[in-house]
Amino acid sequence: MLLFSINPHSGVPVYRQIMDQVRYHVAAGTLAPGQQLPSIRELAHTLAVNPATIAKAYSELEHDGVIELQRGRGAFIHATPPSMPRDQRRQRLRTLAERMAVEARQTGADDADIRVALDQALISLNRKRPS
Amino acid sequence: MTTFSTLTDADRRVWTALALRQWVAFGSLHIGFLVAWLVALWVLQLVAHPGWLIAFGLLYTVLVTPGMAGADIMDGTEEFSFALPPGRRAIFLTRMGIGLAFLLLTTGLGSLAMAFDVPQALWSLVATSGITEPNRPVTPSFLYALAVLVPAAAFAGTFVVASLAGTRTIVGVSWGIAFVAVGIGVFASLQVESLIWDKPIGWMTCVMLLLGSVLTLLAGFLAYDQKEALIGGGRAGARSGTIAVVAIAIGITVFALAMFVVSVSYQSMTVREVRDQSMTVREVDALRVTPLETVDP
Amino acid sequence: MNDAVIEAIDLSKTFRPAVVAVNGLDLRVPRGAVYGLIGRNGAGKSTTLRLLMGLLRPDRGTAHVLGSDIKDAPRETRQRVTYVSQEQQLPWRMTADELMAYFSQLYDQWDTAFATDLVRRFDLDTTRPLGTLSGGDQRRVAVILALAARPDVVILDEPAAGLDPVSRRQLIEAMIDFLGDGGERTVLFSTHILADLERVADHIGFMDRGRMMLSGPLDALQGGMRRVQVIFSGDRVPSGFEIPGELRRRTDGPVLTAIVRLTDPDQVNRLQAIEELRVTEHSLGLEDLFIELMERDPHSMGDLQSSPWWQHA
Repeated sequence: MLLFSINPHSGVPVYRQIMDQVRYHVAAGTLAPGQQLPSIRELAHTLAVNPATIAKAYSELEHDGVIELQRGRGAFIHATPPSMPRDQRRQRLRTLAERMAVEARQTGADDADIRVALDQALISLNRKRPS
Repeated sequence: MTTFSTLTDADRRVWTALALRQWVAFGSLHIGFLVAWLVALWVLQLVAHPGWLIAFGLLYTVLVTPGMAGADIMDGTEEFSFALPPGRRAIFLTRMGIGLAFLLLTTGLGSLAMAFDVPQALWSLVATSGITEPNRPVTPSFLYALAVLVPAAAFAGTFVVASLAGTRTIVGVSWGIAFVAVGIGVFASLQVESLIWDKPIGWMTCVMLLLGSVLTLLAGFLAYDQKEALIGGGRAGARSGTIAVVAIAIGITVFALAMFVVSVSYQSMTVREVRDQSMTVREVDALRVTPLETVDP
Repeated sequence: MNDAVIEAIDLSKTFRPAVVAVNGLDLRVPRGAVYGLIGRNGAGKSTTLRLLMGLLRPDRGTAHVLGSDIKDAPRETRQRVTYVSQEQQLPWRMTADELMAYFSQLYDQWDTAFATDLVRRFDLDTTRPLGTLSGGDQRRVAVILALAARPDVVILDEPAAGLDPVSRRQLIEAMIDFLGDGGERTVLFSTHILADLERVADHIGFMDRGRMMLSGPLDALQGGMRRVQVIFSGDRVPSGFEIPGELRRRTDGPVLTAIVRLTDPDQVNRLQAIEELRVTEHSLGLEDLFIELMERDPHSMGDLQSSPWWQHA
């Protein structure tokens, strides 16, 4: 499946890369709710990585509620999108925002530039969503 | 290693595969020797003296045993073979089994056949071959036992040395080393017998050869089990040329000496028989002469 | 609970006259792991694997596979382990077909379909005597034999050495297919090419001069280390400035680059909050990581071992 491309040498664990990419595609709508993901074996073969790594990615994604693993049938995107508890969501957003702010400031951007960049990213993401 | 009583189908399959593999590698050689033995002993009846069986057995030991026992060293495949499920003990036992079985079959049957002149008996069922005369059993009778035991001892020594070798050279001259050991052992034993019983009885030598063979194979088995796998291709070894030449020279010398001893003992026995016979003739002559003298007035 | 499929304790081996190949090595490979044993040439990796397979006798210590000394184990146990060595020779007169037929008799779990598939993928001529094949092809035949026997444990000594990148990828794919059939199979392989490891290995053991320097799950190792770059506003890095958890550093004018061991998720974030600094962090690829580590004094690696980030599984 050409959705995933991983770089084993980047230092980011492969399972993490897969998880991030699944989350991205779900957020962007490329992977629809209820859609089936490739089997662990297939994906391991295609990406040429240890099946245990795929298994770990899928297992973590299931734990986070992003996908569900149906015995004997395979891995499917969860019908309902996962929702984090509000506090956890806020904390996560805050961390991401702080990092973005600091890095953006280091490039010399001002507050207005930063806000514009964020809006554009959101627009682009919403555009990819079919609904 | 599982005991025989617990052999499963899988075990049988593995042992068969092992044996088959050894046979595929060395089968044609064995068949060649078998054919030669059949023809020389049974068809042509060329050999009538058990000494020839010793020669046959020693020749087998020279030509087949080093290659079979030292196959992994020569090919450099010890690292591969030792990692396979059957393991070292099975490899050793299978090869040893093939060699011993072949030797005991050929020299043992041959010895018995000579002792009881079986080839002649079989042929006389069909026709008198006319190539040889009926064979009289050779004395001393311990030669028949030696015909089996000397090749067995030589095989045991060669097999163990070749199996435990660390270089190709040692494999190549393993037979020479074994021949020296067996030669010395037999001569020394016969000397001891002469000292104890005033003449070589032979049976003590036979027992010594039997014990020696068994102990050598046992010790070899245990040592092989502990052997470290030879890594990489079998090396030729240092000063390989000189060692090879010296060992071959010694081996040939011992071999020639063995043949000499056999033929001398054969001759000495024949001479003794003739002497015995001529004494009988003289006695008759004496008998014949005396009456004539007394009759004459 | 001891679920170690391969275990070496205080393993030592000296070759005469005085070559210390393995020196008090401890190694533990849990069930189902793909364990990469890495180190420079001469670190003792091949000797370790041979000791594990019972091909060499240790001077001290133990080397167990599947719970026992594999050399003296019964055939049923031995046929659950296969081994491919770096320098091994296959019987040169046999053809690959004959050797595979032989293996099918020796190994209860032999998978003919898998073997045939691998032969096709590796594009090998199985009717020629093995002695006529190139070194690389012989190596690939050996790998096919080892994998198609469907053992519980596969031990490979530098399987990719001397192979071109395409063949190396084929080898990795073969290993992955071998792993993907659902049985919990364990692989231990040694290599000094790190790039291939990252695809398949989930555990790492780094050997140097016959000892295990550091070992543990790969995620923990990589997750625990970062390359951090701090750019100061002046023209020099202020003396006395230290990044918490830094292991090695390089300074170049106002730029400080350091390998940092993470013990706290906010370690770097706190640095980034400091206004005058421009801080970036990168994860370290395995190759970079070990280059950095190998340049360290091996004796001071003890502190890495005690980090909470590796758990000896």
